[in-house]
Amino acid sequence: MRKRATVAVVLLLCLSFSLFAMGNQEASDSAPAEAEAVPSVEQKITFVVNNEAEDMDPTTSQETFALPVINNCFMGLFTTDDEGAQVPGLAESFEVNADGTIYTFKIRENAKWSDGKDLTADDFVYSWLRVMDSSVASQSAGMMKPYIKNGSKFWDGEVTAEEVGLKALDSKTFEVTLEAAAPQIMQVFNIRCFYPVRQDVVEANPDAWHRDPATYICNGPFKVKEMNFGESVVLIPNEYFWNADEVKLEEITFRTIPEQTTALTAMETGDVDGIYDVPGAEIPRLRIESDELYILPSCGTTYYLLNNYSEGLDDVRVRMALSLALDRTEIVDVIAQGIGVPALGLIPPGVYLDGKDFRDETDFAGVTGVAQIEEAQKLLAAAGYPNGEGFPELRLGYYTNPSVKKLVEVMQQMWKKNLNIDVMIENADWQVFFADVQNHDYDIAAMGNGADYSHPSPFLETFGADDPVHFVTWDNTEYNTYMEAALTSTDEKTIAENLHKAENLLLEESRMLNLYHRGFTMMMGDHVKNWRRDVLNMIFFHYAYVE
Amino acid sequence: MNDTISDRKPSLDFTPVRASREESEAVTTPSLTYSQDVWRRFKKHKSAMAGSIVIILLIFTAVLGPIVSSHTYYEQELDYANIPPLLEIYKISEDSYIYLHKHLKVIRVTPEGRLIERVKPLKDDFLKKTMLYEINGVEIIIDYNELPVVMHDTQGQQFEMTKKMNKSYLLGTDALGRDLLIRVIYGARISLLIALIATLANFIIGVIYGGISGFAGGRADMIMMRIVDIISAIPLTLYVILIMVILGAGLQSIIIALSSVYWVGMARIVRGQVLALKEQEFILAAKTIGVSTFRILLKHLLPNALGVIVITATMLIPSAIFLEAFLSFIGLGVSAPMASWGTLCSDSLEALRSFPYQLFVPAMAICITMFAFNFLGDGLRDVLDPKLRK
Repeated sequence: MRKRATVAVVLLLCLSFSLFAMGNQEASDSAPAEAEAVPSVEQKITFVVNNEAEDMDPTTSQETFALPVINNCFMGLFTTDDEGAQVPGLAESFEVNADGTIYTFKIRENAKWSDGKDLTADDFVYSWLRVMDSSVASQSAGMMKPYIKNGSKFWDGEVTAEEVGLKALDSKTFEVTLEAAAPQIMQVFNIRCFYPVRQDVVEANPDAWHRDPATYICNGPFKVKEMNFGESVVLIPNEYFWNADEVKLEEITFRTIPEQTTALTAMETGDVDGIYDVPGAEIPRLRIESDELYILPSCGTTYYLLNNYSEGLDDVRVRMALSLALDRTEIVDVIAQGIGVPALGLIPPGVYLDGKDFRDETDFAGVTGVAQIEEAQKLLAAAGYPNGEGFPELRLGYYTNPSVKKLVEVMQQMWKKNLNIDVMIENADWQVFFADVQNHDYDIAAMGNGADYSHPSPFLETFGADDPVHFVTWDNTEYNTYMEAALTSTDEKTIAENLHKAENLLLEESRMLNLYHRGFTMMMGDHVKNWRRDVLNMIFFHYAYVE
Repeated sequence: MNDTISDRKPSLDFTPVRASREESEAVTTPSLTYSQDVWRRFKKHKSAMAGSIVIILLIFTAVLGPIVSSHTYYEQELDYANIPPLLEIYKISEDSYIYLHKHLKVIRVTPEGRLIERVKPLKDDFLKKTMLYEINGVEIIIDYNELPVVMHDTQGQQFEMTKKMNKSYLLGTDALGRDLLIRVIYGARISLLIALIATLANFIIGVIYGGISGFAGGRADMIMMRIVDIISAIPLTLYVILIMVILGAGLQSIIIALSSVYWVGMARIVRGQVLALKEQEFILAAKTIGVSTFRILLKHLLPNALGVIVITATMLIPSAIFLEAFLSFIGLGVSAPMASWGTLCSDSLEALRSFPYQLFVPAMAICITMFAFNFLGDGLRDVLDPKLRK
């Protein structure tokens, strides 16, 4: 829904708690011995994606639809195993100095590029500098430069490349110096902008090297065989991958079918092995009829923005009344077809901080899963609009999308029925809609956030003063203080405390209408094993096979 | 037959008619004005009659339907989402009947097919793929391990099934539990409004513009027709999108877009007619005795071109309705929760495989209306043309 570079200043996520929710239960159950069995069927799969990515360069791409290709063709220092735990990737081992500011990585001797050239520490230095190079203007820069020593200064042009904390000690030893100790850095290393790219091919054609299979030199389990734009991207195994023996699939075709219903038809007739997304209205039927439907948790929340400069919405009682008058359980049942969780707070479940699920510690400010009509009516009356009389007609803006349309219609009706107030629904194209939101030209606007990494801060930063896309009409000193305190601390407990204070303030003030925490739905044939899609929407076919 | 009557001998059975001159030239059929003649022939034209009856019925339904119906187009009953027009009703016990929805929702109904309430399951076992319900003390197990879904009581006894029409929602409900019938009727209001506006724009702007252009001729005609060319060269969808950027989405944008460009076809046809007529003697006569240009246009030229104008207008109505449906379908139409036939169609697409009736109902409405207007237009062309008089 919303793609943006999140300024990741602090995140504290213990490695032990990096709960990447398991995508495929069956996949994890399959014993390795079984996986070793001689494959007798053709090891080829076709997976449908709904859109074609413009940019498949790991350094710059922020596109969701580039993920299937990038995740399977590239690898970073670390990767994740079947259980979602972080395991060594290109780095064989690493060492950290005593104060946690210098990381030394030993890169695998057999780490190679897909054309057979050796992958060295210099490749990492080049690639990471490229992310932080303002002339490349990568949208992902915000996820790297705050951590690396002199990264932000390099972006601003204040220091030279030599002064940035990246060093190749020898051809296979890579040293990273951080600005300050940051335990969450291990999570951050998994983000795609930290994947290395090849200097010579990039420099030969900086804008289009990733659009041609011949120059799309990668280092992951697969490499690109064909790019048929508007049709498909075909991957074949990369024989120079350091763990190439484990890769079993012989071909993966990512076919582009923009229409979800068409993709579903292809899936149901057996033309394809998996589809990226399922039309919402078909989910109840598929739940009954199909064993190949997967409903996976996602690290995202759908919430609607409230403009506190609009008449009526400047009163906290009105905002709270609007929030309490919504029946979130019904919204999830009807709109999200039961694939989400009613959002009582902002942070989705499964985000761990200081050893606890962040959501468990949240005070929901009286919001529950069902509508509290009486409470809401009282609050509205107290604000001077008994039974909705004299309430200004608010505009409820949304962007063209069938399920969002259903959602706004349900909300409009709930407010009409429970509070007797009218809101006017306004539809616009995403570009027009998003421009209006950024200009604060809205009363209530459809929005949401999907995190780039599993931590509360990307959600909460949106409401803070430092947010670069600042479309929230709120500038609260108290909130900013909490966020500042959390983001400058290194102590997990302090961070968790302050982020909780910030979230609670947000909920007490009812700054947005938190609706539901999202989930992904997709389909994958039973015969495809050992694949995985995590909460951050990364799909891995690394060691998948067909049975 | 080579001999004439006068050559024959008069027989006893026949006597010659000795009619006077007046009698033999008398017109025995009743004298008909043009409009009487048109009406007489129109009544004989079956498809045109059928078309106009359908249109009249449509107008009545659109006006009166919402007043009569107990449902409103915006009222949602989320428990009753996606209920089809035809219900499969199971008899659970003597006095309790249930409807089992495709999505395994259980709704209590009367034996006649009226919805009473939705029953929540006691237990929903997603892994074993069974659901447990209790209705009036009877426990029901729904098993969806194998398709089709099986429903039985604790002894494994299946229930008696009958098919009944949905009495609460005659044409079923949409994804938010709104009555589809009333929404289609509201859609008819919008479509007919569009039809009315298209006709008005055609008549007022198109006829006058074309008339002036044709009658003035020369340079004025050249300039005016180039303006028409320019307008018709830009696709209407583009106008709508541009207008929408300024005015926001909604019916008013479509109306403004339609009325600002939809008259060009009519203007061209009227111009052609006027060009042909204006050289005729009666116009020259009118000019000679000093009738003003405007009066010649209104009193002499346009009435003579009226047949063509009426036919063109009737034929343009269906395309205007279709255009609105199309624009709504691609998301440029009326704002929610208002529904036009186009938005109803596009809303139903998502669940097409599960609930095809949601597309069928508005699509049928569009089809019938298209046919009705096209039949009417065809019929009018036949009856308004004096050359086809029998």
